[in-house]
Amino acid sequence: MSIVAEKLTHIYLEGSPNESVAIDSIDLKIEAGEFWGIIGHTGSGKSTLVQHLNALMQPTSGRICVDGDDLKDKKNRREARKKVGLVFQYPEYQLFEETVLKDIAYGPMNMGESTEKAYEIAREAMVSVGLSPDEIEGRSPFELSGGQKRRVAIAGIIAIRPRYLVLDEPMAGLDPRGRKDILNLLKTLREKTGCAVIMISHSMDDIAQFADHVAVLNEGKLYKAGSVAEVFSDMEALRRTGLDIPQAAILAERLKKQGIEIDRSIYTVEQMLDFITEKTGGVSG
Amino acid sequence: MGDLLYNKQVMARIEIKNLTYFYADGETPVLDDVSLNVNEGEILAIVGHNGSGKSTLAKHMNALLLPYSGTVKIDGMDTLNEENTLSIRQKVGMVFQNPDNQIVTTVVEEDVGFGPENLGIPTDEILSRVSSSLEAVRMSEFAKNAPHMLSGGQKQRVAIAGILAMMPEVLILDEATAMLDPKGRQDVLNIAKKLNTESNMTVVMITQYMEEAVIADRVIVMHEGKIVKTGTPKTVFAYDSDIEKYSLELPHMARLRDGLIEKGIEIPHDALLIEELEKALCPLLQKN
Ligand SMILES: Nc1ncnc2c1ncn2[C@@H]1O[C@H](COP(=O)(O)OP(=O)(O)O)[C@@H](O)[C@H]1O
Ligand SMILES: Nc1ncnc2c1ncn2[C@@H]1O[C@H](COP(=O)(O)OP(=O)(O)O)[C@@H](O)[C@H]1O
Ligand SMILES: [Mg+2]
Ligand SMILES: [Mg+2]
Repeated sequence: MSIVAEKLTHIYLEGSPNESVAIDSIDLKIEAGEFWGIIGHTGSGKSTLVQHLNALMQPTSGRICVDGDDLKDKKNRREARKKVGLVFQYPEYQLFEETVLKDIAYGPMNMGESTEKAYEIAREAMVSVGLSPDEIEGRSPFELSGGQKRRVAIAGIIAIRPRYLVLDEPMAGLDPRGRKDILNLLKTLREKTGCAVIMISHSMDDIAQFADHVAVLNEGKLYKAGSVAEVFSDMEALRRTGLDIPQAAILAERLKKQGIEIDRSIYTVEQMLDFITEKTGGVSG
Repeated sequence: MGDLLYNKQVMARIEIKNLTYFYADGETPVLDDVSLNVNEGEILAIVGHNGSGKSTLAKHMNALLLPYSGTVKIDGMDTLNEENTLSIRQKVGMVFQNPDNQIVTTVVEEDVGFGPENLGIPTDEILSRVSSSLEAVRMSEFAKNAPHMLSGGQKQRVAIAGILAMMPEVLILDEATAMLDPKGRQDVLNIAKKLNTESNMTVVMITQYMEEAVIADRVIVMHEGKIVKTGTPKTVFAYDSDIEKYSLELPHMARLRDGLIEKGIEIPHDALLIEELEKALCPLLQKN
């Protein structure tokens, strides 16, 4: 099972003077259960790409298949929307129901669940995003804090029990605790349900720590795709596309320049910590 | 050097005393007895959880909001006195999070000139301010472009140029880097640093990125409407800090430092920058 993009291309306003090639001949394969980070400068095509994954957008050319089914077919598109859950950027602006419970239950009800069953699923989803149904289900989404609203919005997508969970900059605007909560939530959710996570983010350190695969977009093209280790070991490539390098990787690079031998790739604080502890004789803590 | 340090400590541009503020009567205060000075020529970072009151505090610094009780003075001018409002807004410029909401016209240079025009500045003077402000943010070549065709980082630079054209003495960046990509963020930080070192601009930088707070002279931590910590980045992010209690986190290198210290490895307890860790680690690793 996988999502496969083949020569996927999307052109906005094709044929007009303002025509813009947002993504250009992208080939990408995302297997069920993987955790992908999608990175790239503003305007590189990240949001356009992910909106193809659940058939919210149609390719101008090329194709996209979810679990082998081409989304050119209308029936497959409907199926894909159940399998691929997409959390938009700033999703809290799209909350609309009068209570948190109704908002989260909207997805499952829309997919034909009974009200009772939909509420049950919604409550489970609340628990998985760390909200207490007792405290929160009857409240209006609008009176919650920013971080809570974000979690309600994510719960609304989790409630459709997607096999692939796609999130467009889910941590933007949150404080460090809020960011960490979301990241841990995605990690736990994946461990528990086995769903794939595909996350757009500008934080290289978060991607380095949480994802296992990375796709780098640059000016609409897939610049690089592979394991986290592969992508973050080519720091020059990241720099060329205007992206950050994880801090631990910069430190590793500088230590190497000082003649210190580093026998592995290091791009997270934890890896650096392990390396130094081993190298200095592992004074154990 | 000594003089500069002296100035930094003594000359307060913004004096906030016992400031309390409510959006609605009877609620718990959003700002609760806050006292703070913003000093001439410093970069002051304000960090704190979502809803801790950072934006509310910032809006008091240029009279967008007025105290419920307590006082806010800019160069001695009380914000409660309406006669001061215009000069205060001229002295203290503010850049917000979303670049799209700050662009008002359809040509970059007009947008930058919009502020000074409202202040009644003569046309010649406006033109020269527009061109020098665009140069300061390295956007001169886009002067005739349409703002909506620019990237997020470029738009934010135009918004900053628009503020600079009003020749403020204090620049407030309210999570101005939040919606930007790494390069856009770095651009905005570099501009703030450059204005500070080259023109002695006082900068107040509100941010959710602890790595950004590291470049400040001083960091203030807000929590539920109160200031709970003030100090240099080195003291606020030092070993054994309780910063996580306030929904914040240590910068990555400080996290590495603490991990190493816990393993019994000798690292200065206030090391914060990659260079500092490199310097401390090199001799240890070369030995082995
Ligand atoms: N609705 C739209 N109409 C026209 N052009 C668009 C539209 N949405 C995005 N674009 C353009 O497509 C390119 C890719 O945008 P986007 O996918 O939003 O990038 P990212 O998410 O990486 O910032 C950009 O050049 C952008 O200006
Ligand atoms: N215009 C407003 N009306 C009512 N409450 C507000 C308004 N703006 C902010 N608040 C509330 O005041 C508190 C502090 O908000 P704010 O100053 O924006 O915090 P921060 O910038 O630290 O995230 C929050 O609880 C927020 O919900
Ligand atoms: Mg986007
Ligand atoms: Mg704010």
